[in-house]
Amino acid sequence: MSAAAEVGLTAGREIRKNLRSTKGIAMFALFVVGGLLLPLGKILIDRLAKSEGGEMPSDEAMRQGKLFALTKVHGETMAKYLVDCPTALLILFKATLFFFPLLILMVGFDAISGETQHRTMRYMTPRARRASIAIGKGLGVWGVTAIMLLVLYGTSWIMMLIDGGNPASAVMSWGTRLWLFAAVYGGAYVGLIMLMSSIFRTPVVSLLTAFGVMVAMGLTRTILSLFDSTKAITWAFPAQYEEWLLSPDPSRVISACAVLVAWGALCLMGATEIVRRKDI
Amino acid sequence: MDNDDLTTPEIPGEKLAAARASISPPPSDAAPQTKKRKVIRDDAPPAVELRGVTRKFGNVTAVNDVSFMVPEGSVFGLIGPNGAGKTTTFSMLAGYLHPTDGDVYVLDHRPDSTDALKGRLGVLPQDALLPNNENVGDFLVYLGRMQGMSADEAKKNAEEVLAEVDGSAWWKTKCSTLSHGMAKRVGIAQALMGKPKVVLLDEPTAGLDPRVAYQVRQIIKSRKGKATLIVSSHNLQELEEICDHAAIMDRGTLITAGSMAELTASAEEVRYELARGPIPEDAVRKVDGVKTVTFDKGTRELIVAFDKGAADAEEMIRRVTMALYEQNARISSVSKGRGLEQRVMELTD
Repeated sequence: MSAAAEVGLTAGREIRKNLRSTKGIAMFALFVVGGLLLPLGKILIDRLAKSEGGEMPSDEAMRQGKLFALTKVHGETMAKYLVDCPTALLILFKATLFFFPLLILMVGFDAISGETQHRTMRYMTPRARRASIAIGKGLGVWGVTAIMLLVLYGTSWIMMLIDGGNPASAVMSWGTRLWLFAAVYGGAYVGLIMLMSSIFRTPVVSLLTAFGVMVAMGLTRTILSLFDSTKAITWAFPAQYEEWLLSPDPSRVISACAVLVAWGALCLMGATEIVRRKDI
Repeated sequence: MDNDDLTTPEIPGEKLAAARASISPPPSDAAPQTKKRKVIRDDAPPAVELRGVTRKFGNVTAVNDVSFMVPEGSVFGLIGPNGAGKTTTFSMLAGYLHPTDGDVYVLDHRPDSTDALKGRLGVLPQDALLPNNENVGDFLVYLGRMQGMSADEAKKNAEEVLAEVDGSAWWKTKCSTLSHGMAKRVGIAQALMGKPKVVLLDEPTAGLDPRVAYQVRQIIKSRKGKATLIVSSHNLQELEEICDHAAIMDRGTLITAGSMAELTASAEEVRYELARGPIPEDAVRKVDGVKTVTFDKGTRELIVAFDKGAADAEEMIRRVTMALYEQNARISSVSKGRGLEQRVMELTD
């Protein structure tokens, strides 16, 4: 049996396991319900404003206001590009980049450490390469969280299409792109969390350590970005590429995706090497 | 190697039952015993080999310079008290632990050569939990597929091995709801999937009720000659019953290893427990083939060592028993060799 087949089988099992487990279902429900509050809130606010019967600004005035706000945050070039993106989707995407790594943490922290702690991995290692098991688990966690993300995005697309406040083409084209970018962004954190899960034997220790590392990474990046002399180092952090994912320049988007995938792959390789050498 | 080549008329390690049977003449209408039973020749090529294996955990040496070979097709016991290094040795054989020094070979490959050993090595780990959220059937099918079986083959094989451990009813049962004994049997089932050439079983009957433990022993016996089985256990009676070879370990070192006949001296010694009455030591000394005769007054045990080249144990039992009857000695029991338990007690602290 090829290593790829072992990886595929392990990834499939990891996805099934998470979709059947109480923890996986609870995380799924919390993430989707919590995420849907954002587009739902935006739709409700728009409807409330209309039902008040007051003077509604014209569509063009609304667009100008949105362009102004986006220019303040992203600069003029990106603002002109993003102004056509449905606002609810943009808010959802921004929120996703914050909460998606937390979902990955909650789903994946025990993927390796849980099976090392209880020695369940001992049933697998005589049958499959340890590297295949680690990579399969990483891809499984990525797969299941991407599915959860797709359910969240898909539901929000349906809500927005029913509401009719945005053209269907804009909802679908921006929606699929933003889901894909968010999923790729999550890949970097899947790698990081698999690395933490491979280092420790106790799941709660890998959970707390991974959370601590994520917080530390956020703080470090913020501090480094404050000084010109250290700004360049911030490109070592996945969060630095958030902006590039929304760029109108395709080469920047591709570069950001490549760096994020490479970042995750590098961490996953570290996890693989640890699992390969570890006494289980 | 074709295991059918290994057939001979008798099992050299078999003890008390055969010894007792040889005292009582068979009924006149009994059919002569023609059924051939499989034994493993000591010159069989090794299925498993340890060469100078040492394993340290920090400053603690759990296994120190251990070397032994396990003949192909044998049932091999790994014996020793707590802390002897059995589980560490077992874990190195299974590829769970890497040796600090020395080499381990399973079917001529290192235990972590998954490609070469896939489907050829089955392992029952002692304390590994089954996955909580998975059904027994799904888990076994997953393991079968990891061994390279197709989905259909894996399902069929999983059903077969589960039936063999009397667990067909658990197919859809969540692993987390299984009792200790049921989980152990599922563990044995997964170790037997795909008819592996080498099966490692760590405490296979620990925690099982006597009926199921008996079934497990029968499963192990049924694979004698077809696969090499290494069984780590504290249950010496059980090991003596099912194993034809063994290694005795203590405090991380190998004390001795060999065939069960060698370890228990069953091919060169018979023991008689005598009731009150005459102790005809001199008469026994005159029996052809007898080397030494000693009598332990405390246990009232007459220990007769004989030249194993002159006659086999059964023949010596016949000759010595005749001599004892002629001298009106009252025999309470007869056994070949010392018994594994006694041997282990002698060799370990």
